[in-house]
Amino acid sequence: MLEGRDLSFGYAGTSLFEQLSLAVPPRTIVGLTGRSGRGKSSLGRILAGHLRPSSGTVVIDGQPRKCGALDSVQYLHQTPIFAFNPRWRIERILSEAWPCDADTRRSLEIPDALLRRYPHELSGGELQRVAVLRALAPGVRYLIADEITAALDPITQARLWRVLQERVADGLGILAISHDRALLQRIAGTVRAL
Amino acid sequence: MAELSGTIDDVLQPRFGNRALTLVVAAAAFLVILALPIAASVLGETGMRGDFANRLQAPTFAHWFGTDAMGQDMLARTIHGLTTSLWVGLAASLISAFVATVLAMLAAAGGRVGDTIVSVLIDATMGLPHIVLLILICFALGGGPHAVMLAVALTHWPRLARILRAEMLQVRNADYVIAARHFGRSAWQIAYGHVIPHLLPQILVGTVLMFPHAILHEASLTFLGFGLEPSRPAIGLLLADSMRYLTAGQWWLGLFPGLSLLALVLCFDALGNGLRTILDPRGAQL
Repeated sequence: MLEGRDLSFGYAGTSLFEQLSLAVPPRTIVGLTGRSGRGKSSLGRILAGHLRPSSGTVVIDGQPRKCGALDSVQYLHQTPIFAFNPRWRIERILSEAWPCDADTRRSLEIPDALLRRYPHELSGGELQRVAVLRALAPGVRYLIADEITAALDPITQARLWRVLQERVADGLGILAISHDRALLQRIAGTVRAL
Repeated sequence: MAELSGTIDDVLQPRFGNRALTLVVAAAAFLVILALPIAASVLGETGMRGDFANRLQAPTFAHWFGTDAMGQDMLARTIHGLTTSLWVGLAASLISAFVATVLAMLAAAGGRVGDTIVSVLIDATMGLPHIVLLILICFALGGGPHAVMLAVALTHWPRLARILRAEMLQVRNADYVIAARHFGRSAWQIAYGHVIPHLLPQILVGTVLMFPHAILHEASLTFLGFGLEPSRPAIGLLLADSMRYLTAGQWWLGLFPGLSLLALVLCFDALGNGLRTILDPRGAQL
């Protein structure tokens, strides 16, 4: 279980949320929604360990996260191109996380030809699928999916979530952050509003 | 439809044209720069001896750039002068690039205090008028070739240091570096894989583009009389000498060395642009 306990956070004196607790169990998709600027992404980044909360703790199965090893919580961006080194080809970008196996790659529809390209030579949907593939390394048990399909067309969106739902059935836990309540009601077991 | 695609083609940038042209121009510029010291060593003392029978001659086929008041060939003097400038520029750019890189690393590694110290240092150096600082250092060191070289070397780092510091901060907080950390990559792997490849092109292009500045400042210092000894031709010295003769109608003494200096500076500019084009990942597979 990925848990945020009594989290508080704010920017420059204004508080975004206080004493907030949130749990993402394995094998579930928890939805997180709320109006713009309410701190959805900040909460996601705190759970992923990218930001430090002003108070409170994030624990994984009751333990604080380990540094220097593969993090079992991975964060997926709305705009994945920023999460890729523009000077690296896709194959190197993927191998930084794990030597991706062919089955997972095929399930995300990433052909061999894509591997030799640079990030700016991929479409938005291709980039997001590469980002998901990279984050699905063995040992990753929770994903923070921050508006990952907001920029994709409905068919691509549905396909990507279908792959992720299969992973959830295998034990993955996902925090799905989105403005799209219809999407969250469709995929998430529970939906929290911020 | 045909009309429409025609107008869109006009708006779109050409796919090959600019890049190929930039690279060809850069290669040609590099060859010109390389040819200078070679020409200087091939020429040796040819044309450098006084020949009072042929003094102050306008350009002819025997003397393309004319001759000066001692009958020395201006083309030979210009080539030797530009070669001197080249060495001063090389030393100055390398020293400046080194100083800039070290300061940028201190700013990145030294936390808030280190960053503040480096920023203040950069701002303070940039805040002084450049030529005044050059003259001060040159004067303090007693003039001469080494003083000019040191003065030029010690004053050209702030601009590159500022760029490198900003790039370092940017890449350190880039999403892909944060991601790499969460994939369990070590600080060394991140430095080697992400930070250095990002900074190296900036250092390289910055160093090449520092050359023309250094050469122009060397010429200015020599022109003002701080510089190199009179026996050794320097482009600033040639220009300073020509001042006395320009009013008497000996225009070639100033025009050709001046134009050559301009051409050398433009060569470095073309080389820098070419390097930037090669190193940009966005053009890698065009």
